[in-house]
Amino acid sequence: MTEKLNQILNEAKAEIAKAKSMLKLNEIRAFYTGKKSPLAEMMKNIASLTIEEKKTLGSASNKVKQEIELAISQKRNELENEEINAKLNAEAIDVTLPGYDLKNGSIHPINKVIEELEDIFIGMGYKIAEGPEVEIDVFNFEMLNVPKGHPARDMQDSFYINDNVLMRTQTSPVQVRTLLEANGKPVKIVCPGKVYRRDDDDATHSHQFMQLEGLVVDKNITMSDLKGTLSMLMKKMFGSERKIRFKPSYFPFTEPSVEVDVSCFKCGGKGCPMCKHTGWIEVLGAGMVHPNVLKGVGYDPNVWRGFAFGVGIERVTMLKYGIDDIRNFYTNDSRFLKQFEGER
Amino acid sequence: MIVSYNWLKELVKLNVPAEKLAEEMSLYSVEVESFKKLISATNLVVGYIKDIKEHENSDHLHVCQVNFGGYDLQIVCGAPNVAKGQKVIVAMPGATLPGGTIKKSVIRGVESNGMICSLQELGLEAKYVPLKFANGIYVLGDDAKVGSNALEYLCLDDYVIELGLTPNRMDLLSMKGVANDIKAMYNSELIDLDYTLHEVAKKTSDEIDVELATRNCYSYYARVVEDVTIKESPMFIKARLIASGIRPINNVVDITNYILMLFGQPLHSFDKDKLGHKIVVRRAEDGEQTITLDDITRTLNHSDIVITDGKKPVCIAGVMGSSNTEVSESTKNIVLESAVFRPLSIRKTSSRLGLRSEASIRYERGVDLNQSLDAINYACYLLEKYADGKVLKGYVHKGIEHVEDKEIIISEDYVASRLGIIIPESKIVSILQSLGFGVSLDKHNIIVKVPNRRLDISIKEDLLEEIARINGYDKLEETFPVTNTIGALTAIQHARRQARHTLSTLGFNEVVTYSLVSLNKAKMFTLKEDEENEVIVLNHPMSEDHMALRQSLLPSLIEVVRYHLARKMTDNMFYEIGKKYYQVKEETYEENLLSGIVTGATFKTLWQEPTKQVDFFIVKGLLDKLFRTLKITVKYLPFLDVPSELHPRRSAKIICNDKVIGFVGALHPKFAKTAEVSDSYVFEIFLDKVLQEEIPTTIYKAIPKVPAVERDLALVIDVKQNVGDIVEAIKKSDKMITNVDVFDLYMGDKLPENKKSVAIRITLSSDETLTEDIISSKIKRLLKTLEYRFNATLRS
Repeated sequence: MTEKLNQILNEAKAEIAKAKSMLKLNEIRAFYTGKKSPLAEMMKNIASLTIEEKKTLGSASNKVKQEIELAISQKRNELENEEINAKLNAEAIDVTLPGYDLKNGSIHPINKVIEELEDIFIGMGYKIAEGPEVEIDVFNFEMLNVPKGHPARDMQDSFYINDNVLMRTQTSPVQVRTLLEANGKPVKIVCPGKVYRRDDDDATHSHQFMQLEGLVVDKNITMSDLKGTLSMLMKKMFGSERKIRFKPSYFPFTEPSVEVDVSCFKCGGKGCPMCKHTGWIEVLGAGMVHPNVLKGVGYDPNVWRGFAFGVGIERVTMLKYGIDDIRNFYTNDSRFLKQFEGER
Repeated sequence: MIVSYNWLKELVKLNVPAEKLAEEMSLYSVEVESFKKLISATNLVVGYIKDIKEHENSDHLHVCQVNFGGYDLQIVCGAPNVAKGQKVIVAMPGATLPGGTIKKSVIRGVESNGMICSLQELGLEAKYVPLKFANGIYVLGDDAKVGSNALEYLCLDDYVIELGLTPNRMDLLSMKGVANDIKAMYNSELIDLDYTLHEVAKKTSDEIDVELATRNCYSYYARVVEDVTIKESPMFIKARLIASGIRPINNVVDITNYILMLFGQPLHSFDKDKLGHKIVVRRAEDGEQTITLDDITRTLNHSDIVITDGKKPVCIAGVMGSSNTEVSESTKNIVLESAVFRPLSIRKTSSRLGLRSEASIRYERGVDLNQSLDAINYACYLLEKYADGKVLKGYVHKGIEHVEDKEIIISEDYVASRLGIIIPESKIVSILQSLGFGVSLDKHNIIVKVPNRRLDISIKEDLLEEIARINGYDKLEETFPVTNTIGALTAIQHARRQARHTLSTLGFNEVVTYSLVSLNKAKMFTLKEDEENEVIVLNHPMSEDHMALRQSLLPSLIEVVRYHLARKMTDNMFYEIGKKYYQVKEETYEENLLSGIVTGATFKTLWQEPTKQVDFFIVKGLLDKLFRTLKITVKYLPFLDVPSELHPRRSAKIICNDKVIGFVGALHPKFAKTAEVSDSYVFEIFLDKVLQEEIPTTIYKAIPKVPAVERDLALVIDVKQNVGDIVEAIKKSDKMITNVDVFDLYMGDKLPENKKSVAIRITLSSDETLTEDIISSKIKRLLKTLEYRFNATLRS
């Protein structure tokens, strides 16, 4: 009997192994596990056996049945895998072909730098102020301590619209506007924006360019605060190793006035062509707000004081990215712009 | 201002090498623009030409035997003016000249041991070379010591420091002023000018009379020097003028220029025999004329100051003399003027006449009249010494004689509270004294007397700057303002940034273009409703291309596209955030715009499918994404009364809350052709109007528990019927309708003429299960409404 069982098992296994398709496998399964399977047939003829023998045979037969079913399920897995693999092979693609050209776009480098500067100052508690580009002479000059006939007006020949209105030559009139609006309260702002001067456009001049003005007015602002603030700015912009230095200068609306140098970020201050072998690069102008400016907007200079600074955005951007011609910013060649793709 | 290092050393005790001085002046005094050796040539020796012979193989070369004291050298020289007995400048073998290094050589078979030089060959600009030596070697004076350093003899062995003067530091427009600042920098001492004037008995006041008829002349000194000999100036005067960038002319002119550089006081010299005995300073008559030294007839007006002989102008005060009293080779007697005029008046005159001279620059910024007398006296001393002049006794003066020192009171506390560092009172006092200011103490007050030569100092803050810079800005600490404020972008600023980042993420390149454009461009793309807005035009533009302020960013964006098309870059997506400018009844306005342009292929699928060229709906889709980011809901309406630059049938007004907030459309083909661009789609969004819209806070709605149901309808409508209106109506018809999509549009044979079919997918969702009955009844009702409002029927 046992021999008979083994024979059935071996025959079944051989047939399963030979099966090439799921259909065939299903047939085999039906044949060996159905009601008329060889096992079932065999079990019909066991009446003559003892109870003990019946038990033994029953359990042996079940075991064989289980083994057959296991073999079938293994074979089914095998066949399924083969089928899927064949399908996958048929679906092969060349992953090195280019993807859809969903353009990246870019933010103009000038605005990138403005956003960067804004964020540095927002982090230090500054608000972003704005003002008109078509400005009145009173705000652009007079209230900034530059009366008519003042020699400083020579420094920045202007585009006038009429005797009293001009294209602002600096973002500084926003100082006046902000202080007038703040009406006697402390002020801590930066103001980015376009300014205009009568310059012929060349590699280093542009009749339109961008500045970022900074202004802090309170009762106990010191020049050391100015130095600390600008030092932080330069470290954030050009690296934590940077140092700054002040040099005497002149702006009508600040006193004292200074020119600010940052230690060269290319050579670290040793001297290289970028810093003209001085180790320092001139980046911005700054100073303590002139008492006449404070007086003009109703702040008593004996009580209030402040500092102000102005950054030339193009200059900083050119330094940061190594750009050698300011006209690149306004020609907007996409081969230039695309170099500033991405957000980091 | 160009400063001679040698000259400086005669005015202040100075142990600092020139290069270090230049470096430190930048930190403590004023910006240094350049520093260099006046003459970079080296190894130049005075030689004596003992003998000269013609070169055997040349028609122009000479073979010179040159003596250098202890030895002779043979040198070949090609200069036409070389001659026996001359003392000359020899560049010895090994010398470096701007033109190269001198080597021992053989010239056409003859040995030559150096080069006899012209001044130009030393690197001196031709304008400084006396005319007689313009085309040959320079011949030294008999007093030159053979074998000695030739540059030393020429007084050209010097360094020059060019200062980048700011408008306030008029005191640094003189050597004495610079010496003063350097004295303070190094806490050094000044060296006084040591001179004695030998006046003759004849009195100046008998020879000349001065009258001031205008208050624009503050002070006027006149002196007379007779019997002068006009000749070349001594070497040191010429050398110092050359170092200062001034061309030597003759002794009288050179001495007035020397005084100008030394004191910062412009002097003018008149030929006394041409001038007469009278000087009247007055304002010019309108239309009055005079011929200036440069032979140009100048027409004057009432704001000019003139020096006259009582009748006619003999000088435009502070700007330029007239030729009628010019000092010439034959001049014998001269009248010297040392005057101070009102700065603004000189500034007006010099800028109107386009005449800016060393004198006018100083007058414009302010000249210290306390030094006028000293300056004219020292000039007389030099004229006596170097022009053999007889200086008449005394001087004639009209106007203000002396300006008192200004008193300014500060304190240690004041300085500390402004600088944020403590500088002890004693240190403050010593800094102020080193600057030449008078200082006295009264309890905690420091009383400072500032002399008139520091016209730039008038308030406490000015003194603060002096103290801070001389003390050293490097001594400042690095602290932060104690002002506690919250920094943040405003909602509008934030939205503007979001718009920028969204468009850039969508594939647009941001540009920045000029606000000033041509008048023609400034008028483009203006809406019919903005017709009364006027263009803002500059009153003195630099060029026609930049004469007016734009009212749209699109002309500039189109120009950017034209630039790219001309360079075979056909697929372009650009945008700009910038302003439009206009005026209404003299009032000017500025508004923020966000504008863009798309040409060519927007999304290249490259090897997979045909490239998708831009069309209206691509741009509309991009804008929809932008608006969704900005959380604003917009409608697009047909834009028929377009500006002439737009396609009237392919443009839409963008509406938000019943306001026009921008437009989008194709360029008019005619306009595109003249603008030299291909088919382009543009948009302009009036950003201020958009961003001012209140954005309601998002209120959470529970997610429907039951899946949404979709129904497709094919509607037949009039060809001219806008699909947008129907979509809008469906959306509004029932709260359960959460989405409406258009997924097909058909026009053609299978429909009656003038009809189109539009396939619409409606999404309904609800918290309750939507039974077929509910849905059918809703659709039925909807169809009725659509039929009633739009004459829409279900396509069978």
